[in-house]
Amino acid sequence: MIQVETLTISEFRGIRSLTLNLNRKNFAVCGSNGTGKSGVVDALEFVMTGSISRLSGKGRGDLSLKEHGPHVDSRKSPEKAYVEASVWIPSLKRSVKVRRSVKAPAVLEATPDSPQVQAIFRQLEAHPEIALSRREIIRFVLTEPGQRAKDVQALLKLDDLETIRARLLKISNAAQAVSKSASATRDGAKAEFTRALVIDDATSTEILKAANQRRQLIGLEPLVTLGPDGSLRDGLATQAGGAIEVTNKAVAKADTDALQASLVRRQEADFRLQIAAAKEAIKALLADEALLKDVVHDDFLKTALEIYDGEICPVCDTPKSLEELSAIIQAKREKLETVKVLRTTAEQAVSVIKDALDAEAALARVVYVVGKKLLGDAELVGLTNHGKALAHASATFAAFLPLTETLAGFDQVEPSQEITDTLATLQQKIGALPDPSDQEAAREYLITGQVRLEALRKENAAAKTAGAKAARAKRVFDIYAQTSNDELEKVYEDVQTHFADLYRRINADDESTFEAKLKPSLGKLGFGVDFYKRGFFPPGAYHSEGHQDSMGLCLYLALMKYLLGSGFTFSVLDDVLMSVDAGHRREVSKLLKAEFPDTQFVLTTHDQAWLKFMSTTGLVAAKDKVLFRKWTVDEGPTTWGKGDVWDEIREKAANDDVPGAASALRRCLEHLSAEACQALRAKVEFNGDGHHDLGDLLAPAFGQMKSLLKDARLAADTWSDTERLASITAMEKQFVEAAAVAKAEQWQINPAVHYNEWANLHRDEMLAVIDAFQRLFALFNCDQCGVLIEVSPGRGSKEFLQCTCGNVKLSFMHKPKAQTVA
Amino acid sequence: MTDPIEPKADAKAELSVGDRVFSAFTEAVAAAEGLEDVSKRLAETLIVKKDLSEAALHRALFEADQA
Repeated sequence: MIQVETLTISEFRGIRSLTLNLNRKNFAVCGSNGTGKSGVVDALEFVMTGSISRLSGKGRGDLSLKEHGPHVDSRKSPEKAYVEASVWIPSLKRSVKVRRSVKAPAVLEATPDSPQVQAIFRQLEAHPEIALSRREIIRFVLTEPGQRAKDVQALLKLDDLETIRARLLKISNAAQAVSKSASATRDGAKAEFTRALVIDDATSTEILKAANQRRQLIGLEPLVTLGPDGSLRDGLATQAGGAIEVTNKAVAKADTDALQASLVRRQEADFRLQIAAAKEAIKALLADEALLKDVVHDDFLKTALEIYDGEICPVCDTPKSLEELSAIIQAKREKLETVKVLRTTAEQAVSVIKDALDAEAALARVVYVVGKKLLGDAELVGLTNHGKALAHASATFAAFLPLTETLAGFDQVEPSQEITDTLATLQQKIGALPDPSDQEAAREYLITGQVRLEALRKENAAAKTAGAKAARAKRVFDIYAQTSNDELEKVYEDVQTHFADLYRRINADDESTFEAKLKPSLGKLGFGVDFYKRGFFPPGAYHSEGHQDSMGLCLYLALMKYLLGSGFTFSVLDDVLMSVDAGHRREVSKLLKAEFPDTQFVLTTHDQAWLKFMSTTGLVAAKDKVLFRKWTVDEGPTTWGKGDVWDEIREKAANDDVPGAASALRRCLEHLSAEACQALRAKVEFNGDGHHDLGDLLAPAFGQMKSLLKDARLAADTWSDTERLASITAMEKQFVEAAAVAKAEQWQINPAVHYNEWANLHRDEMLAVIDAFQRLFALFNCDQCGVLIEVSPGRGSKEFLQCTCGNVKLSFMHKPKAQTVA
Repeated sequence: MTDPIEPKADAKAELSVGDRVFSAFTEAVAAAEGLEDVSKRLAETLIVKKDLSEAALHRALFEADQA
């Protein structure tokens, strides 16, 4: 989408004022930890997206952009905290200057502005993942499948898919619950109906047979069919309203008998066994209560893994490797899975009891209607209390947690003496009701039967509708789960192919046949990687941290390429490969350069060796980098190129801080010697870990400059170029004299000038050493443009020793010897 | 070397991955017996209106029953 030409940072995070020229090229930011690299990453992210991920998201607590975006001394002036960038927009083929201030981060000031420019930055705001830190790498590679699916889908902007899946599932589950409840109500209504008609089942045949017997008794025509609106009391002239004013003795007796039977059933062995099973299941959960608490802390664990900085466990503040932390969290999650199975078992066992109580509550409501007619207020309390007790127990079992209350609930489901007594009284009163004549009984039978038939029809229709809705919701959810899985499989297949290809290229030496599997399944994303043809395992299972880091980078690159395609033009890789070994870093550099030629990478590192690999592989040109030397709260980061390092070292010595000056001088000379060795193509003794100290670098740098000046002099001599000869001879003389003063050639054999001994020098002696080395290293630079003199070309036969302004340009080309004429 | 995913970049420009999934989903719903209307309502909700709320999904699933 964009590439950065220049970046200007003011009063932002740890930076006071800094301008970097990135020139739409790959760019490296190098410096020890705490020198201000992160400020550059934050600035790039901020100017493009208006946010800083380091200050937002999970685990960031009280951090905020408004409060902590400005430099600590400009907290009350957020308008002073701003980032400007000149960016190239390939799709518009033009450069645009953009600016954001912390005071109004959402406002992008663009010059020239246009809807297209604003649209492009809105796209960038939607893709804050342009910056990848090691924390994100861990997130992609080591997290558990459910979280990985969320994270990867968030990166691919597929979070909506998971949202829809969750919502369709919720709708489906709710519809199932409604359907179950409607079915239970329908079953209750059916039971009431069959009790009233004294039939075994509510089939048309049985209903018609029973109803017609009563109709015949009162001289009504038999019903031939019973359609959806048919009435059992069709033709019955009296009491057209439907409800009967007197109690239907037979039905009242049947209902109270049914309630009594339910009470008895709950005291029988079968029900007691069901209660015992439910209690055991609850006790099994209570036995591992600590793990139940872990279920509650599930999100906390996920956050812990996300904010792990690669060194310190964020939970216990003790050093933990990635493998250790991952193993701990994995073990906890495995235990949680066990608890989840136990919980499901217990919930099912409790549900059986709850269903029985709910059915009895429905019966009690029917009996209450009879009781209200026949019992006094004091007696009716028994029925009311029973209903309340059933409702309370049902609610407790539905809540399930806390488990102790659910467990205690089982001790309260035993029918009370009060309901037993109340029911006995009610049965007595029903028994005392006068027996109706056969005709009266037949009429009451048909009236009550019709009332209950209508209730059954209503509940039947409701259950049918609820069942259809539940079936539809489940069908749609199943289709969604299947189709989204199929589509995501295609997406992940493409990503996994590219990911594996990238990884193979980095690890061609020992994993040239590497394969990977990204497998989505019901909201989870499995990630299996081949381990030397021994099978597919989670990335953290056998691969080293270094391999996991490169896997994370490759997965990120593959995902970004899939997501943005040719729009993947910019990315910040924030110290992402710190645990990758030297050999594979070179391959990473080569891969980024070869595979992503149109992507501008800004890479931060605290490791000079890593920087060298970037340079030698051509990923980052020598000039496209900034080296941070130190950081102070007052000044922000100081770069090596700023030129004040000598004053700083001299000031330390002048203030009698000779050890401090000696240490700073050593670091400075290591840096300058390394730069000189690189520029002059000096031969440095190989070191396996890629690190070189002053002892490895100073002599090669000094010796190479001497050798190159000599070669240039000999070449000039062949051309009889006296003017050039004199110039080179003067340079050689100047160089040898400066080296002699600095005793650069002697430091290895003379302890008095060895850098380890500098700390013991007197202040004036130290100042002399500083002056000598400053003069010596000034000769490695052009005195006009100030740029390091270098050999060109960078590879192959040396042709020139030159600077960038042309002031220094010494040829190594010898004049061809005159050919002998035959 | 050839880029294994580059050809998809153009297709993506027309339809996001999310919309591709929604499109495949609504087509599959349309193919299911008795769900043609549901499919139309889901397509309108998810792809046209881009309303992903639970209430909108609920309406798309059951609108006819609630009318």
